[in-house]
Amino acid sequence: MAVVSDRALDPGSRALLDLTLRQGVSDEQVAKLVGAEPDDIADRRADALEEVIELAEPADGEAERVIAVAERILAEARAAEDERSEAAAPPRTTGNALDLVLRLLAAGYLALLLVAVIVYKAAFVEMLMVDPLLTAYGLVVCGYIVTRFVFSMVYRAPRDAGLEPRVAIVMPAFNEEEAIGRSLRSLLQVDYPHEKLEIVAVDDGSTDQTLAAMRAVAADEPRVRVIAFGRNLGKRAAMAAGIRATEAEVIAFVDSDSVLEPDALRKLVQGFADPKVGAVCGHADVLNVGQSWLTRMQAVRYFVAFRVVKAAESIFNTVTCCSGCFSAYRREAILPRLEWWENQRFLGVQSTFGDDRSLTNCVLRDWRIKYHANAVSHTAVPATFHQFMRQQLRWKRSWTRESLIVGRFVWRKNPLASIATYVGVVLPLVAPVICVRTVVWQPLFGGGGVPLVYALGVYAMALGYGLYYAVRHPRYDHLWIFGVGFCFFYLAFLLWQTYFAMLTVRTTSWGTRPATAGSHEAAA
Amino acid sequence: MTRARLKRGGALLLLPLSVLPFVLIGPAMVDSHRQFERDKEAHALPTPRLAISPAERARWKPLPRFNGAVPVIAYEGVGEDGSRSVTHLQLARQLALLDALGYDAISIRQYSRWRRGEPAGMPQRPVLITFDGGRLSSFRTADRLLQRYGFRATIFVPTARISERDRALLTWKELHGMERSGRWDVQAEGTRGDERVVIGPDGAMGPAYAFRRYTESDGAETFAAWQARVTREVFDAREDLLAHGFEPLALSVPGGDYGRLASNDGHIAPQVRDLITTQFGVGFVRAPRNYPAYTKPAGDPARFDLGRTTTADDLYGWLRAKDPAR
Repeated sequence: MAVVSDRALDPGSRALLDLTLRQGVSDEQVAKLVGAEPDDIADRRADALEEVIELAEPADGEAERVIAVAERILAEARAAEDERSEAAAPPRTTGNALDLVLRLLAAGYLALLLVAVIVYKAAFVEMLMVDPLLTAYGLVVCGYIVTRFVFSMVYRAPRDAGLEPRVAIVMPAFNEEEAIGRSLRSLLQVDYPHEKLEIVAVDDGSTDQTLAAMRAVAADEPRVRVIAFGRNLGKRAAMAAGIRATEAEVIAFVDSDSVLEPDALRKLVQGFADPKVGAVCGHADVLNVGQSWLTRMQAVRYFVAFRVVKAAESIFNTVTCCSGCFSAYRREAILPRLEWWENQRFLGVQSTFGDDRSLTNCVLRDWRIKYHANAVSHTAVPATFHQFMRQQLRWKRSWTRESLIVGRFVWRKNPLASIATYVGVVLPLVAPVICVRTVVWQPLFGGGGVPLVYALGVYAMALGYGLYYAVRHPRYDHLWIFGVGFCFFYLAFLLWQTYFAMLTVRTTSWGTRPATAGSHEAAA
Repeated sequence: MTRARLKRGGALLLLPLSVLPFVLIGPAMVDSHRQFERDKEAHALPTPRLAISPAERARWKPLPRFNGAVPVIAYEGVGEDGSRSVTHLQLARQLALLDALGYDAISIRQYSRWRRGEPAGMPQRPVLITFDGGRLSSFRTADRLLQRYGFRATIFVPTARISERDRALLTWKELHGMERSGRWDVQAEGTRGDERVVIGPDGAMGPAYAFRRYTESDGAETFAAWQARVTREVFDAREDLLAHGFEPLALSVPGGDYGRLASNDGHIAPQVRDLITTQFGVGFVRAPRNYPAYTKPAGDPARFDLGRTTTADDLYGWLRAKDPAR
């Protein structure tokens, strides 16, 4: 093969291309041989191929042939990689000794940062007399964040109790002909006893080939049941129909843009070993991490939101939102409120989104809710600014609605958990006022200088989140810095959505999806 | 080097790079903390407990009433180290003495009007109490005492150093607050306070206004250079007061002398006197051996400086000895 005989390449690259392309040795085998990571092997092969393309003389007929071959191999490799990443959960990342050292370094840095923040706050506590609003806000934010970190360190995922209850995975879909077949097949690949798993696919009146795709999967697999609405009734109606259609003890929901790790479901149901647990929230990582800077930022955000915030909530059994990406409910916990949830109305309009937070609230009143950090799903997140902003606005609207509901009963739960919940509701409401006062009002009209303290406080918080990701992620990479960036992105764009979301809380449009039944009703 | 290694190296660099904002903003934060500590301690101190003994009352016999001359006393510092600073208790006893003798502390405006021969509403026993240096400690120790005795004082501030936010000194904001309280007047002590300059090759020092400055490179500055320096200094002090909303009425001459007592150029003293008179009206100086007469509308007003060794009896002795009515 011409590619691998190119003499201009260094011997290592030539040998690599020879082994992996001509002799068909897998990356894993090569990695084992040379003591490297499979990812590094793939990267190096791609580099070598690009080098071949660059080194070849365009006028040389042989070189043109080399380029053509190399480009074809590159294109095929990339296509195969894309296909693999779409069809299944990405492989779990592992780290080597260097990763461990760097993560330890980051852990020390994070510990130092937390101690420094606490010492700083203690040194300035008397500022309460000088600037009560900003100081109290700073103390509460600091207390909230530090306790989240501390509680998350205490958190332990539910142990394997050997539970294997009958599980039904309900997957509603509306006009998702491209993804639904792949999603259903990925669910069938989970490691769970065949006879105890069923998948209920609900077509919510799609106008494309979604129903046909569902039926195609169901034709090959008896565990898949298909429910078809003749017309679009909305996501909640589809989910409720799926729940009613099954007798399984545990009902799991997986978003159609999420994929599960093979052991995710088995792990998730272990949370139900405690008979008082009504729901268990799985962990969600970002599937399309490398797609854009925005997805990279969301990767860190998701990681911290689950591993820190949900973990901290979980030690008090009060997870306030079982993510729609991947969560499971005890059947008897949701049936009593199923009809109310399906037809929930707020300020005179039907609630069309925030189904996950709403269902969580239905269960949280009387049951415990846990989070399982090792039951991992991977979900596709918005990759463009516009999509992301629309999604966040929708989430904030449902957060507004459900915060009013959770506030009515969470005080009956553990005091620490309820205080944290109330603080978690109040802080986003106060934050824009503090920001305007500190960044605009004080420097311009209040005689204050550049808001260095505020900026450094935000940076410290952002760095804390980023470092946490670096510490907890098995492989140390550059992604953590996107977590730092996200905090400033939040400050610049998302902070201000809260008030707008409150003012437009009756809006029922999904924004990122085609119009569904609820939005039609609201429009009418 | 492969792309993976480059990425790895970049990721590794992120850790030390992320410390940069702390390194860059850290000094400002430390400064902010020091400022906070200073501001936290900026409030006035309570008055010390003291009582005038019957023996003191017996010694401190009443003095004659106002007879066309006003005693002016000066504090360089209160509660600080150094022989020119009095203690909080000393200050309290001295103000208690003035109160017991029936003195009323006048404002700088009253004093200025009186010097110009205008109606000033002089009380029966006027006294002008002044503080030099613009120190925070002077305010902290004196304010409650002034309030207790219903006195008013004038504080002379080095205007440039106030603008530089020297933490030992008062801020413009605090000075405004003090003036609003009705217990304080704010005037200038030049732009840099009691600054002294090198006046000869032997390293001898002298008051900044009174001498042509000596530098090793250029020798003694020319009279024109001296004139430019001091004129700019006096003008700047006046402009600083005006810019911050204070009316320039008096100047505490840095070092207490503008060349009247000692100078290395005979042309200096008359120049500075004219300059101060036109820009401020009144320029307070120090008397030889610190034993000045009461001030009168004419002539250089000299103040009685109170220091660590000055007792209330010393103050009484000076008031009694120099009273022109006696």
